[in-house]
Order: sequence, then C-alpha cells, then structure tokens
Amino acid sequence: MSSTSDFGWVMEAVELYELPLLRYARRLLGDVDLAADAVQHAFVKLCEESAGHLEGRVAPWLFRVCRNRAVDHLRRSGREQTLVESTPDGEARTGSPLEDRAVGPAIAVEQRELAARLRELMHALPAAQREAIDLWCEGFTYRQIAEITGRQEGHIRVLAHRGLAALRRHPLVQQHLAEARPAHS
Amino acid sequence: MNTGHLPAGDPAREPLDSLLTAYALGQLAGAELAAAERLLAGPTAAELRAQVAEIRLLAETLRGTRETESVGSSPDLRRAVVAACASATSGKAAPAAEGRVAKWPWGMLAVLAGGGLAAAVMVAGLPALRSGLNPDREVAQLQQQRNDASRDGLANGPASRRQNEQSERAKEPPPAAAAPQSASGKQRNAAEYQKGDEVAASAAAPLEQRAAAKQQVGQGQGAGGRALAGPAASSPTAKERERLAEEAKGSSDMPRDPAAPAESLARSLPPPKPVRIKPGDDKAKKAAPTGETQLASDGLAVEASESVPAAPMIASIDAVGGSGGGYGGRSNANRVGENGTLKDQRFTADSDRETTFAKPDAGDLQRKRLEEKESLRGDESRERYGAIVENRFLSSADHPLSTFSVDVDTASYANVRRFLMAGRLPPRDAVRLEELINYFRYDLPQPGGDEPFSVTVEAADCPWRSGRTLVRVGLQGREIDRRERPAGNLVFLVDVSGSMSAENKLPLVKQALAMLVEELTENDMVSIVTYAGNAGLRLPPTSGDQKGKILTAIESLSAGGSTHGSAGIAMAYEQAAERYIKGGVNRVILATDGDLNVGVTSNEALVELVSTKAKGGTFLTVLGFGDGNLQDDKLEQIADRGNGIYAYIDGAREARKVLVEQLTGSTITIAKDVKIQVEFNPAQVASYRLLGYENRIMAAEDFRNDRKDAGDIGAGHSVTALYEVVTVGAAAGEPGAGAEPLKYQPRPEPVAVAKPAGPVSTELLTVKLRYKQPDGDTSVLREVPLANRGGEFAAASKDLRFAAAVAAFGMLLRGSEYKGAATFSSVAEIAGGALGTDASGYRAEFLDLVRKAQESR
Repeated sequence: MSSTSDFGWVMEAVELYELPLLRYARRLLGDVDLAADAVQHAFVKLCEESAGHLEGRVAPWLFRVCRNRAVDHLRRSGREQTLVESTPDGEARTGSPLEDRAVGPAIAVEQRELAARLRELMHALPAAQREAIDLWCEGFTYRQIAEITGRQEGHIRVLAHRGLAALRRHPLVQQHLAEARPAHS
Repeated sequence: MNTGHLPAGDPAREPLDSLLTAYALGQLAGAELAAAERLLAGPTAAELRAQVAEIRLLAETLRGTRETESVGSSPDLRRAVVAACASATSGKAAPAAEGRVAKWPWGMLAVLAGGGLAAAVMVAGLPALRSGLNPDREVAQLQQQRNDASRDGLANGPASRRQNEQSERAKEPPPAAAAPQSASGKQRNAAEYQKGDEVAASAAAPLEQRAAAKQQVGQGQGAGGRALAGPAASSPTAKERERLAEEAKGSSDMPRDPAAPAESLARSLPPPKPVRIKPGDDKAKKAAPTGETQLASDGLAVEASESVPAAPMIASIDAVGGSGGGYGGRSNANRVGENGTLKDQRFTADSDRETTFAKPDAGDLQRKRLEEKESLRGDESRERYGAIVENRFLSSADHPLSTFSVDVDTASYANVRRFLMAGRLPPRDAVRLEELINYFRYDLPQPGGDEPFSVTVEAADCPWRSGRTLVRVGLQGREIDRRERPAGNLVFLVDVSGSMSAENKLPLVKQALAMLVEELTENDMVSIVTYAGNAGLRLPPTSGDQKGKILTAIESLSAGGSTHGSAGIAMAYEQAAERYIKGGVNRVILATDGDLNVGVTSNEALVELVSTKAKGGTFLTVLGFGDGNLQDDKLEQIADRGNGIYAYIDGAREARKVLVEQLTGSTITIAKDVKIQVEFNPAQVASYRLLGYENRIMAAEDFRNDRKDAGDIGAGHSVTALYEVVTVGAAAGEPGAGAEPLKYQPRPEPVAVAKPAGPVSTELLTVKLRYKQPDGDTSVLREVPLANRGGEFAAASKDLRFAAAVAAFGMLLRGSEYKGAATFSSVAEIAGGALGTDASGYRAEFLDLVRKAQESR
C-alpha cells in the first residue's frame, strides 16, 4: 500500500508542473481562479494514484486530468464548443476567424512585437488548434498531446499545422516575415 | 486578403504540409524524418525550406511568450495537495471509503481548537504520516525518481527541460513565503491557524464555494467562525472564541475585496507555513547531487526527522485539517444544494473505482450502488419516458428469425448526455441502446452501383461475456453532397408556447433554424408555422435565398400561450402540401419540448394525425428541446409514424450536427421502410439477443408485408445493430446459457433441425434487408450472410469495438442484467482504443461521458 513516501513524488510534480498547468488551464478557461481550481483538482487526483502506475507519464496524466476538469466546466457553462467543436469542416464553414480580425493600417511590426502579436492571434484560432500548439510550447510531443487531449496523434499533427499555417498566413505576420526574409528571395 | 478558408488553401497538400510542420517542431523520427529531410534537401525545395523556417520561427516565438505570462505558484495548492495526500493515505487504510476525506482531520481540528498543544497533536495526529516512514528509503526513492526524471526527460514532458530553471527558482523563497511574515518561527495560536485554514479551505473547495469562502473572509467575524462550520467550530472554549473574535477583527484591516484573487488573500494572511518551509534535511540534500536545494518532498522528510520547531508542524497538520474541512463543507453543501445532483459523490466514487471493477462481484456491487442512487437519477417529474423491456435471449431453434425496423434516431444520446453533464444518471428508460450506438459515424463503405446503402456484417468475441460472440450489422446510406441535394420544401413548425421560453428551448430553436437557413439556396422553399393557442403562419413560403427575410421571421418568434399541437401540425402539413416539390425534399421540421397540452393531446390521436399526413409524401423531423417536461416517448412515436426522424437538441453543437452536418441526412430520405431480418442458423447459433431496438421489433411475417411501415434512412445515415450470440459450441460449455428453455416443447437437438436440408451450413446467420425507394411502393430484398464467428475482440474493426463500448455503456446506464462483465472502466478502455480519426470529436466526447457516468455513480 501507499506510504508517506508517496508525498515526495507528488510534491515534486507540484514543483515541476504547477506553472505550466496553470498557464494551460488559464488559456482553456480564460480565468485565473477557474484555472487554479482545475490545477488543484489534477494534483489532488494525483495523490490517489500510485507513483509506479504513472511512472514516466505524470506530466501527460496531469494535463489530461486538468483538461477534463476544464472541459467539464466549459460544458457546464455552455462554452464547450470552443474546445470540442473543432471539426475540419466546422473550421472551413465558419471561415477564418483570423480574417475577421481587423488588420488595420499597415504598420511595420517590430521584431519584439511579433511575440505579442502571435499570442493575440492565437486567441482567434479554433480552440483545438490553439491547444495543440500550446501543449507543444509546454514541451510535449505530439504523442503526449494526443494522450492528453484524447485525440489521434495524426489529428494533433494536422491541428498544430493548421494553427501555425494560419498564423503564418495572417497579413500582419506575413509582413513581419517578409521583413525578416533575406532580400534576394 | 482573400484566402477564404483557414486550412491552407489546398487540402491535398495538407499531409505534406503537416509533415513539414511536424519536422519544424521536431516531432518526426525514423522514416518520416528521413523523408522530410530528403524533401527539404531537394534543389527546388527553397520554398519548402522557407516554410519550415518560418513555421519554426513562429512556434519558437510562441514558446517564448509563455514565460512572460504571469502565473504565480500558490501555497494554497501545496496545502491542498498535502491534505489530499494525507487523506488518500489514511483513506486507503480505512475500510470505509465514504467520508474518508473529512473524517480524521476533524478530530484533529477539535484537538487544535481545544488546546493547541502542538506536540501532542503532532504525535497523536500524524500516525498516518509517521508509520512506515523511513528517511533513508525515502531519500533513496527520491534520488531514484530524480535520476529517472533526468534520464527520460522526454517521457516526463517539460520536466527535465525546465529542471534547471526550477532549481534556480527554488533557491529563492516562493512569493508567499517571502511576504512579510516573521511569524513563521513563532509559536502561533490556534485561531491564527484557523484563519489560515480558511484560505486552505477555500483553496480546496470547488469554485462555486470558493467564491462564497471569499465573501466570508470579507465578513469580519464570520471569518473565524463560519468557515469552520462543523464540529471544530462548535468546540472552542470561551477563551478561544475571544481570540477568534479578536483575530477576525484584527484581520479586517487587511485587503478585503471579495473579488481579489485567492492568491493575494493568501499573501495578506499569515503564512500557510506548509510543507516546503524548511531548508532542513541534510540527507535529502546530499541525495540530490544536482544541487537542487529544496523540493517539497524534502520538507516532508524533515518533518519526520523531528528537527524543526513545532509551529510549522502544526501549520502543516492544520493545513490538512483545514482542507479536510473544505472537503467536508463541500459534501455537506452539495448534498443539500444543486437539486440533488451527484457532485458530492465524485470523490468517494473515484476512490473505489478500481477495486469495484476488479472484483468478480463488482457487477452486483455496482448495481446495488446504482440502485441506491436511483433516487438521484434525473427526476424531472414531468419528463416522460416509455418503459423499455430489454430484448432477451431467444433460442434460434424456436425463433430463427429476428425482425426489426431500422432506427436512425439519436435523440437518446443527446438526452443522456444532458443528464450526465449535469452530474446525474439518466432515467433508465431514457437510455435507448440503438440510439446511443447510431449517434456515431462509422467508417462503413459507400454503397456501390445504384444501391441506396451498403451492408456490412462482422463478428468477434463478445467483450463483456467470454465465450459469446458479438455480431454487428452495419448499414451505410449513400452520401449526397450538400450542393447536389434536391430542392427542399421545408416547413418549420415551431412550438412557441409558454413552456418554450427557457434559454435552452426557443432561443436554441432559433439558433438551430438560423444555422439551417444558412445552408439553403434559391432552390429551397421555407415557411414557418407556429403553434400556441392558435396556430399561425409566420412566414409564407419563401425562397431559400431570401435569408434576411427568413432570419427576421425566425428572430421575431417569441414564447407565450398554451400549445395546440394538432392544429399546428395540421397547418404545417397544409403548407407543405401547397408547395410540394415533386422529386424534392418535402419535410415538416417540428421544434418542441413535446408539451403539446391543448387540443389533441393523447399520443394515439397525435400519432394518428401525423401518420395520415405522412402518407401524402411529406416527411417529418422532430427536434426535441429543453428539459423538465420533455415528452420523449410522445415525440419519438410521432416521428416514427410520420416517416420521421427524432433528434434531441441539447445545445448549439447538437443543432449543428443534426441540422447542418447531417442536413442531407435529416432532409433527404434515400430509402424508406427499411426492415432488417436476421435468420439464424440453428446448427451454429444456439441463442441470440438483439441489443436495443426494443420498440422497433416487428413480427417476422411483416418483413414481407409492404404495407407495414418501418424506419427510413437518410443520405449519409448509418445504422448499426448488435447481436450477442451464443454459438452451439459455446452453449455446450455454458449450461443454461441464453434462452430460457421452453417448458412444454420437446427440444430437438439443434443439429437435427439443420440436417434435413442437406449438408450443415457453417454460416452463422444471414442478414436480409427490405427497403423501398423514397417514392416507391414495392420493396427490394437484399441478403448478406455471415460466414464465421470472427476472432478476438481486440482484432475486430475499430467500429465494432467502439459500437460495443457504446452498447456496454448503455447497458451499464440501464443497469441491464445483460451487461455481463462490462464496467465503465472497460468501456473507456475499449472506446479509447477505438477512437479512429474522430474528426468531429464525438468519440472523444463519449469518453468524457463515460467518465462523468463513472463519477456520478
């Protein structure tokens, strides 16, 4: 049975994953308190697991449990579509949310602004694409992202690609990339 | 910029582009990696190389932004986790799982409040922590874990990559500990800790309660008392109460904005002083060669070494008690609140999930539990569900023919989902297996030639009862491109009675219809009829390209008055007849909560009305909305008899699925009166059971009777039926399996039945289908035999496995006696391994539902 030595690995996980989980959950939920609740739920659940059972899978497991909690909340509050509804068709039909964003006058995007710009544009991506990219940013492999989100690895590959490709095609981003490109191309 | 749709222009290029993106993100290995490198090395690949470089730049830039986000680590979390760990440990030791979280911390709190004898508490209160604690072993284990972590950095996700920065940060005190709290070393009185508890309690409590807790903190006196509502609160001595009151007063100087995030509260209050306080344990330090000074686990090891002052120890016990209080408060509050939902059961249910499922008698236990919770099942007293008596096993010698009408309804699934998402189990009779199974898309082949649908028959071992065989019959209706669909003559018949005013009714109806209107073209004709008191024509037949006009009419609908169902239905059919399009799609779309409370309200009369009208060639789609008084049985019957489809719309997502994704399916009928008859070979099959379709069973002789109405199949619809089959061989080893023997009939040997026909056929069964063309009157027959009983379940097609999981889920929700060894865990496992491409995410959502059901037990 479990002994107190179980605490060690759980607290270690808290140290390692609290902040990444908080970031992730806050992006899903858009609220810091809700995010904190989901993160706490994940760790509380972790206490009930045994270290051996999850060996080497702690991070994906935590993210998955945290995500489930977040999805439950979104469902309850009627916002589930943002996460669940991400059919390729759906995306196609609703057109590009990025296109809807006013581009505004052609202001040169400075190097340091690109990051902020991208982060902002991320909000306009379908949630499933955004999520795949965010999880990659947190250091997960496609396979792990698939495990966390309950999707197929191949689907993750497509989601991540579509999201990044859409960002890349956005006029403001294009503008920036054009400046960064070598002159001869 | 006119890029149109998001997915980069050319879908044909997507696999390649996705591969390149995967390459840019470092996600390729082996052959794919080599392929990508070859591709990029090509002389003409400059553009691709630029693409990869840009994608990589964007991704890395994004990755960089995550560090700039301000998320702070929270001491509350640590306390809650310590509390949960302690509870989990003590809970596992205790035989009774119920209430395990709350039990012992309360006792400790009482001790604390009564005397505050730290040392005594330490000794008495922490047996669970102390027993079996071996610092050396702990250290060794920790070291092992760390080594593991650094070795398989990839498997551990972001762990190892971030380890360096983590250890950097760990050297500095965490934000909360750094706050001006010199109290850390001092002896603190109990009240102080209790106040700290509030934060812990609010951290541990679910969101709904956290808000409440925040307010309590802002209420001065209430801070000390109410947050500790429970045994502990009633136990303090007079002196303690004074101190509590004073504490509360004193703390009222602090920032009290109820909206302030919990974090700032935590900072403004005395430090939680939890587990990670001490710089302490030398052994642990030595054990961490990486130089990490302080993982929380060290703190625990230190506590065991008893080398730290008493106060922090209490603090951590206190945190346990406080969080325990949080849980206790949570379950009490939930028990009364939230109209009888099962939320409070979640924690206990989770804890014993595994043992429950592992044991052979788990089924009984589970059923018992389900029965106990029966009173908590969805109890909307006005919702009505027709009783379902499940099909039983039939002997194939006595009943060689199994005949039923197809059913493409999916309403039951959406309805079940509504209950589960609300944390309740659905009423038994709301669970119709065939509608659950048919909710999902299956990867069935498109029909060849002019056939309206393809037929697939497959068998494999039955997952919930060994030795049995599961047979799947799959029909796939021909897909019709939305753009090629024939002209539509649609009449929206909208219930605008008072009962429809709820947010999930009329507003959702409007949303759903608006979605459908978006899909219409100038070939289509739309009219809108309302019924409430007096039926009224709100929109005369209008061309589908006059979207503004149609949408305005939809928008102007408002709820009020009582419902005269039959008058509305009659008028809708009149409208449909007026603009009847020959060869087109003529359909009445009825949107209601089914509470047709004026006029013809008996089911029989309504059904009669609809089935008469349906003879005129106009089909019916019934969309059920809302909860509370959903007349499920009535709506289903109306749809059945009106050559119709019944779908339950529980949200915008479902509306889109039914009205837009399946637009062609729910409006274009490609085959009508589709009947399935399975003839079982008694030489091979001893008995069988059809899963679901209880209210679709037909007499064998009606199969050939073209005047007998049956279900229709729309474009793109698929129909799946499952049989659990006891083969002759299996029956021999399974005495009394399956069908009850007939009492008065001599029972011939199965082989003897088959023999007279010559050589014994090895086929298990033959699936026969009869259907009519949408405008035809005579049926066509098709036959598909099943040659063998298939192999291992794991080797079966994904679709068979997924359908089996859904069926098992339905049986579990029904508490069916036929569910065998099925458990929610096994359902999740099977379904999880059979998600397929699941482009729409419906199968993944199913997994969520299984989880919800598990939690709602």
